[in-house]
Amino acid sequence: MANGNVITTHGLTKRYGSSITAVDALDLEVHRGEVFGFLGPNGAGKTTTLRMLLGLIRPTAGSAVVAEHRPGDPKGLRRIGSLVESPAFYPYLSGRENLKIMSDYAGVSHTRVDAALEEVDLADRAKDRFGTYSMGMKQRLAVAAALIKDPEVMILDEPTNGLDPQGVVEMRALIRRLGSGNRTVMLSSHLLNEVQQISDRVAIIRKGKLVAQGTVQELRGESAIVVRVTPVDAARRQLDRMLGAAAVTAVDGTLRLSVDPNKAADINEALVGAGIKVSELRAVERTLEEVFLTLTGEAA
Amino acid sequence: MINSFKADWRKLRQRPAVWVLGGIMLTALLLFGYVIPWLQLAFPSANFHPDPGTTLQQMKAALYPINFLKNSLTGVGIIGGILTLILGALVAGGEFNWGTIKTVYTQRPGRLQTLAGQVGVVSVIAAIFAVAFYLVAATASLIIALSDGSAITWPAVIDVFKALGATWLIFESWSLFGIALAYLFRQSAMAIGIGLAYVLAIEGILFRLLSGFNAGWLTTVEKFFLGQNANALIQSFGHTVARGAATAPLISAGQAVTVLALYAIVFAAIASLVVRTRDVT
Repeated sequence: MANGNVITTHGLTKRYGSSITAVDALDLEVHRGEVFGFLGPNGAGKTTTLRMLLGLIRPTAGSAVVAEHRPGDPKGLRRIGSLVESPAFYPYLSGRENLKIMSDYAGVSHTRVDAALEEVDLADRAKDRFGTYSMGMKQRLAVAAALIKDPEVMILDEPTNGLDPQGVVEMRALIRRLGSGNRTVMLSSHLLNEVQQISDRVAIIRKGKLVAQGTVQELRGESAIVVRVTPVDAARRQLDRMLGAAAVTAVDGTLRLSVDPNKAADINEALVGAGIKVSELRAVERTLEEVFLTLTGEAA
Repeated sequence: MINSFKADWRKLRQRPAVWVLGGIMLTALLLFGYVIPWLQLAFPSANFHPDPGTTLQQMKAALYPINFLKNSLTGVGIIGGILTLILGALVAGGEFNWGTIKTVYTQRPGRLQTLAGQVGVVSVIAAIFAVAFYLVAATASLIIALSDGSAITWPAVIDVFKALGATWLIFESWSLFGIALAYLFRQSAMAIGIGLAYVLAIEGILFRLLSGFNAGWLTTVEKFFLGQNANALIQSFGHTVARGAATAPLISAGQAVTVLALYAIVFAAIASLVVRTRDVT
């Protein structure tokens, strides 16, 4: 991790037979301490990638390094907490007993179990059998199982799957907490709004191939302000002087200004002060969802 | 491996299916080994006749402490074998059924360490079953002898240990068969189904039918099958009641022990190979 990457993949590929390529030459970089969103439509290869990073399935080609070790290496797994697809535990055992078993496997003390249960707000139901838990509780227990190792890296595959809106809000808050400090969180999800709110950087894959990787802001592109003004020519001269000609573009009878939306009030004041009528002034920002739909070719 | 063993022990000692299987084994031993035979002998019906060449007293003596090893060993081969095969299939197959195999593999231990822990705990459970088996048999035989006012004589301690060892080896080889099948088919239901089909159809019906042909090659082939060697090992302890002239056994006790141990090793190797090479999807 000398280069600051906690997860690195080079040409990571998984083929099933000769006709199905689930993941195609994927190059990813996840930096230490960031929350990394991993996005893609259903069947894009997200879960296959995460399974390869955890050593559950072997790549057909390429390589990966996670927490300084090859995927599946026990030394690396000691530093990784994970939730892959649906949470899976022993239904006849309580939440606490399940965590004790997982801490035995991980080689960590049982003393961490209660702290992990507290962390995910499951302490009250710790004695109940896992089979009686709701989906949200099962997801939280899976996060607790990942936390008992106090991992440097958390790999979470669709952690909000099957949760009701309240559960989604709670899980989002939990992931935010987990991602604070030095811990790195890699999160796959199709809930773009969630990812946009909590991720520092994101990667988008489509049909197994990486189509974009960068900060949320980079992917969304520059934000802008659109103004509808009369007369347009006078307004353009005024704005060219104020912002520079390169920042002003005429689009369908409006002017698109490539500036920080926080400058909207200043721009309005300047235009009105110059005797120009402003009938519309609004900030324009692409959402991650718009970027995603464009990049994955799923836009209407 | 110690961590995996601890985890599996915690998991399996609380799993109801394990103790239900043990309960079925002990109940079957009590019912078919002691209760029903004793009721038949203590309250014989008008139609009841002792086996040819035996007396009622000889048959009763088969239930006394001196014979508790031989009497209970007959149940080890079929009932014990089937139940421990199911035990192995449930232990390994359950991880696939519940999807817990991916949770376990991503915790820390290597795949082979996880398998080793699992096999270790199943071996301990097989040993517990074997000890419980003879404790129950000894207790039942003691109660019957006391109720009949018979003198109490126990087998030699060395024979008790030999029987325990033989029983454990038979349980171990069958349970590893179940584990290997569960890893091959990634589930318990198919493993149990195929295991039972093998026991009943191949080892049971097929060999019995083919024995009618009296073919030499068949006898040679038979010597290398799991069930036949388990039965040979059981028969090496002798019978509770002598029936006719003694014949030389088809498989010696020494060969049976070797073949059963080899089976256990081969099943463990198959499971290891599958565990190492297969993707967990």
